[in-house]
Amino acid sequence: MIFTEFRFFWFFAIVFLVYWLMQRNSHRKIWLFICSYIFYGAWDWRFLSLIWLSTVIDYMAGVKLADTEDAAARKKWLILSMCGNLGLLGFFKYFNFFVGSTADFLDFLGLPMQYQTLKIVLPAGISFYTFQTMSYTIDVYRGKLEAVKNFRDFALFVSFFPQLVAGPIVRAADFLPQLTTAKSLATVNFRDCLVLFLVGFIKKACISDRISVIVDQYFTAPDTYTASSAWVGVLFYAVQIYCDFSGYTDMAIATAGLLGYELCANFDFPYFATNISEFWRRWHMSLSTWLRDYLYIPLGGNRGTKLFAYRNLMLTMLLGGLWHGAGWNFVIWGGLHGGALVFHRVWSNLKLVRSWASAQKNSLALAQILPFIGAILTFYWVCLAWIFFRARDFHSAISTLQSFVLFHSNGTNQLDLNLLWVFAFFALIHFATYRRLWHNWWHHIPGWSFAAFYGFAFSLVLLFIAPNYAPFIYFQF
Amino acid sequence: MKTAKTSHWQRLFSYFAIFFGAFAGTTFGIRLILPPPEIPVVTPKLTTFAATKQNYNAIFIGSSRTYRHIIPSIFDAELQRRGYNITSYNFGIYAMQLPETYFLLQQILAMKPPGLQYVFIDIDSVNLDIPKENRRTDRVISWHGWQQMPEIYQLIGKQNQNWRKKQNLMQLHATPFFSNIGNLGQADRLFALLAPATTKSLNPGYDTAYKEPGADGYLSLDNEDDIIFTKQRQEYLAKLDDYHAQVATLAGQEQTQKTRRLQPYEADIIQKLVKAVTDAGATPIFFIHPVLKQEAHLIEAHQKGYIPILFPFNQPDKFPNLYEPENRYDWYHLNHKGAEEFTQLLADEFARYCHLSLVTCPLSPDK
Repeated sequence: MIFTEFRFFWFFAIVFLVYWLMQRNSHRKIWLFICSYIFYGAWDWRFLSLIWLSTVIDYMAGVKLADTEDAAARKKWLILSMCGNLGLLGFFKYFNFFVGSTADFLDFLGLPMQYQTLKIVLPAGISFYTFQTMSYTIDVYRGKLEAVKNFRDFALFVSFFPQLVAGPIVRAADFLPQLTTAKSLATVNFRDCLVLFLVGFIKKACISDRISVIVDQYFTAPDTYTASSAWVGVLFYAVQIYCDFSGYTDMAIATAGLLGYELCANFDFPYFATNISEFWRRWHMSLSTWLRDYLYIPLGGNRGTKLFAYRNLMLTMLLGGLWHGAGWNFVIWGGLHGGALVFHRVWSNLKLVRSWASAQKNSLALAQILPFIGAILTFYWVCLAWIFFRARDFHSAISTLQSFVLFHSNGTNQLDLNLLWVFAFFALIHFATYRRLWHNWWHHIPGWSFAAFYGFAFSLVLLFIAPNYAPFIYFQF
Repeated sequence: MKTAKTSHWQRLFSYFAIFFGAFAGTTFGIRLILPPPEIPVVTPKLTTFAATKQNYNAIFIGSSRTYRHIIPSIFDAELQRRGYNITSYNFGIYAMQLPETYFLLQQILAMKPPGLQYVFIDIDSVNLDIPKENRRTDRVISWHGWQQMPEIYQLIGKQNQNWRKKQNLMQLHATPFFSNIGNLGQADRLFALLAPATTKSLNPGYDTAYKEPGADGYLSLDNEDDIIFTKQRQEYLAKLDDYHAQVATLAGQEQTQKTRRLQPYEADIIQKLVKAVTDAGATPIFFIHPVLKQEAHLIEAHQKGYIPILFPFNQPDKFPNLYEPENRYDWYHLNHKGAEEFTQLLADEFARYCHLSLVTCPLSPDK
């Protein structure tokens, strides 16, 4: 079940009505827990057992960590939780990748190895909910968070359906206190939630799904296309993945909001970032802060030498790449971002650059031009990295890279260049939203006119949706 | 407290009513201004027929086999030669099965073609499943309107399937229905007016592979050059031994052998088809193409009187030429040469019925 399907609307209408008609918070939580399992089971009910297993392991670990002061015992429970979660993730997501890569490596060394891959179906959202539960146990271990005693609350934290399959990755410290607060329909900000849902719906169903056709067309056979087509394919993929993922997040936040829960923001106009560090503060924020808090800092963070910090940054991004998918293309994608982050840090720390930047502080023209150039360069690098994220194989990625960087045409097939006008139109609308051109106007009109406007807008949006549903890209992660 | 809560719900429901009213009003308004969908093969055929309907007294309706097997010019000429004045139009549509055939027939009959006397119907099978790639196409959406849905759900209800499968089928047909009444994804019809090339590049779909039909509604598969057709042909040629084995099996089966029983829902829709045609003052004539199946359920429907006239051509021993690989394009279809032969045989059979006065046939003016 995905947010843009009819059945989700029926599902949510029932969830919403029953939820708010219930008087007691405890009943509502049980209802949400049941609905969350139904939501997840709509994909494949067999994988419910995995969420259940992850929930039980981390609940137990949390309780045991709270019960004991003994450092060795605490470490043991932490390791058990990590092994449980990473074991699930490792088996379902990375088993074939590691076995295949090991065999390839041994073959390279002249030690050929016979091996068999398993037919493993990747459970939807496994990377998200395992990271979520792991962060809980780590926080309890670090003493930053009190363990949850109520199993029902913890189970709902893990399975809460709006963000279960593609995030945002919710921190227990942010979510668990919300479970103990009584909710009231009067406090729900309907207008913001409904507008956010509609915006997310437009991003996913009207933009991402529509342009996915073009992107698929190009990336199926990049060898046969011209350089300008490669630009169309790559630029459209940048739009597609942003609209797909941020659209999903918008709908998730809005859905949770209608039930009285607040989820953290996940995107903040990342394509307008003026450098790569800023990009990562704006793109998939719940993952980047997770990686910072639970990987980068434990690796040593900025402590020690600069070289050590760069190593940590690079390692974090490589593993972050691998989190997205079991493939070397994702590792390369992470490496490209890691390399850019290191380069940006080196560049920013150069004395020459710093003294020049402070000398130019009062130059208005430069203050406006430099961020613009920075944004263009950042966007170009991000697009270049997307090539590895999207390409079917390494050969296709290199072909596309040749076209995208060197303007080399690999073939004669041509995508319609008028599509670049469509891209320019999207960019303009996005920029206007970034500059808050129509920010919050819906707060200033009467309730009945908002309802009428929403009906009108929703009808128009349905007119523009793509002919085919496409699953969310991030579901595969 | 209680009053505040009640008024909150009241407000919520009144806003919902306003939302729904605005939504329904806008959707209806958009529907009025939207140009009709351009459905490959279907729209050109309906448009041509609407403009020239007074010229025809016979139509052929059915699946791709009807589309690819019947050449109206040959059929008409053959009957002319025998003294009967028949002018026909080929309404075969690729991948069309019941109930879509029934809804298309209703559209045709709603045009009230003045001289229509014969409706030749090919019912391959009643298939309520919709292939995944077609579920959101304009064509499937177009035949899921308010009028059709009760009939579709009645058919599903009468199927001999378990509750779960019926529920899946109901859900399957609900999607195009909601797409239809909600104008889902129909903006392309407007875009297509403004920027046809760009719209097409955003929708390089399944349907675009089909070429436009000829003026009489016929187009041979030999004239299609898309890879989906050539691939089917290659697969057929690669498995000629299997093909011959299937032909031999079919030839060995008795016509009366009940390999497949008529289902109640099939009987129901066949009767509906017959009634729709007879109510329009025409005669329904059913026929079976030279397929590799026995279609015993249709023979049963004929024996039970649901199908008044049936011309079965799926008899390799009686019509061996139609099963010769040189006359076939692939497993399911004849090529142009095969179509010529098949049309000739169909005309012969119809002329025989005319001659025996089993159907009333108009004589040529020169007779």
